Amino acid sequence: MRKKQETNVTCPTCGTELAIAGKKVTIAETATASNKQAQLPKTAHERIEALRSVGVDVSCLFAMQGANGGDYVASNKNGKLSILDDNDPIFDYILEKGTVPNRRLFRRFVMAQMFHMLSYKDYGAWNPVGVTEMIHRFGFEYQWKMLLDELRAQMKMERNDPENFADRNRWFNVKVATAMAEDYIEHLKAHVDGLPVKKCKGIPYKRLGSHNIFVQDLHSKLYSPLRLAAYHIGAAKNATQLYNAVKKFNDKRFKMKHSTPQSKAWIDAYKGAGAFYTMQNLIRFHNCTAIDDNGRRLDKYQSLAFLSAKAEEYKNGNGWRLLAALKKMLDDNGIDIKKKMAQWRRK
Amino acid sequence: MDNIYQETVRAVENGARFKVDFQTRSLKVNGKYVIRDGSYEGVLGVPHCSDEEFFSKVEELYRSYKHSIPSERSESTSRRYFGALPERELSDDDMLYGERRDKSQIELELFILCQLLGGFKWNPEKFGRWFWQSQEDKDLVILRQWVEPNNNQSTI
Repeated sequence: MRKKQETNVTCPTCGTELAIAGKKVTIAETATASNKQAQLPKTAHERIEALRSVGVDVSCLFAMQGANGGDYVASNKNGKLSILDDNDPIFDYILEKGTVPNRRLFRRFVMAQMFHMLSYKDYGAWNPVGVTEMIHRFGFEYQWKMLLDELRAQMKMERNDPENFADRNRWFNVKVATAMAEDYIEHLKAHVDGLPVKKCKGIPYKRLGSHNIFVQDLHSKLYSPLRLAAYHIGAAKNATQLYNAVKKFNDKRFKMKHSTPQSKAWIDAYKGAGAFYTMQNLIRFHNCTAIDDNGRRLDKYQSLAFLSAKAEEYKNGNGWRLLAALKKMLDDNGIDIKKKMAQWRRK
Repeated sequence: MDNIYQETVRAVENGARFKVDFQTRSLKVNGKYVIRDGSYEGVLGVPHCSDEEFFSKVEELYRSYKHSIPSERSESTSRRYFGALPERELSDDDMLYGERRDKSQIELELFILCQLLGGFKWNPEKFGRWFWQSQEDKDLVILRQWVEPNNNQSTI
């Protein structure tokens, strides 16, 4: 009997050995092949899903099947069709580090700002001025501008990116916005009470900004509309409603002096969010790890989980504790910001 | 001002707006002239240095400026003598340990202005006929026009 001729072929990408005998194809997996298979999702569709699950924008990617079989991930970015190689550096980076290097997603600016606030010293001063003082120096109006920017971003990501939305909404949410609105009304009242009373045909009035308001109308024309707007903030059911309500409140309110104390709720949320994203970046990209409450050094993924647990624990008014955790992490990982900055300048 | 350089840098660090004009030899801080047409009150605070020292210091300040961290405010200024990297091209180290862009910009531009006021002269044989380009970083260019505003040679 004539033996069927067999042809052995090795896949150049994954190392799988294919023995082709006539029309029948048998697949013999090698050790390297099985390792690789275990690491990479098998089909192009699965790869796209894996990228989506780690937060990559996959709107321009789609799975494609070749005429001779075989799956490809294709990109249609800016109208230009291209096939992504299995060994594309982005896949390798994700497999190696477990993290997508997306600078927007991981908010490098927040980390940069926190480092600046942690290390800033006044001219000739020995010690840094401190994060709280640096936040005060932003001025009263900054908190509203920042809140609106933040809520606009949340509004856009609520539907498309629920995971990141949850991380951001943990700090800046209905509760914080309501507290800020109430705090504003209190400050406004104190400010208006301190204004001199003027008279128009014997009727007392106060001049606020460029508006003259009769004292008897202060409640109906000034405080009540603001209280109503604050109520709408508290009643917001989703990020869009919250953004719109805060915007309306912001449009109605008068600007306050730069030195007016900012809302405590906002300061706390600002510290918490800043510390959270800084720690997340340090763990993901700078080889920092956390030491848990029992003094045990955690690995990268445990550290991220530890951070999430701490953020959940401190989200309601204890954001400052997360800032303390950030300082501890810098200490535990031997990061001396002052020294690093000096090194950077000498580079 | 007792020390124009240091006090201006400090003011910018604390949020002051500024404008340096090499050609008219002027510096405005928060809309007020600190140096006007080359005249000022007080001390500049930057000692005059040799040509080599000048260019080496400018290269150092430019490196710091190029890798500095931009902000909404620093990016809103339309007039800039030197180019710096956009945020997406900065490394993580730049973002963590870099200077604020406003501060490094005033440090660089005011240093050059102070040297111009201190008597820095353009040497066409050494620096080039129209511009000087750093060998260390080709993005760093100083135009002769900035140093000699009335130099009106033909471009051919």
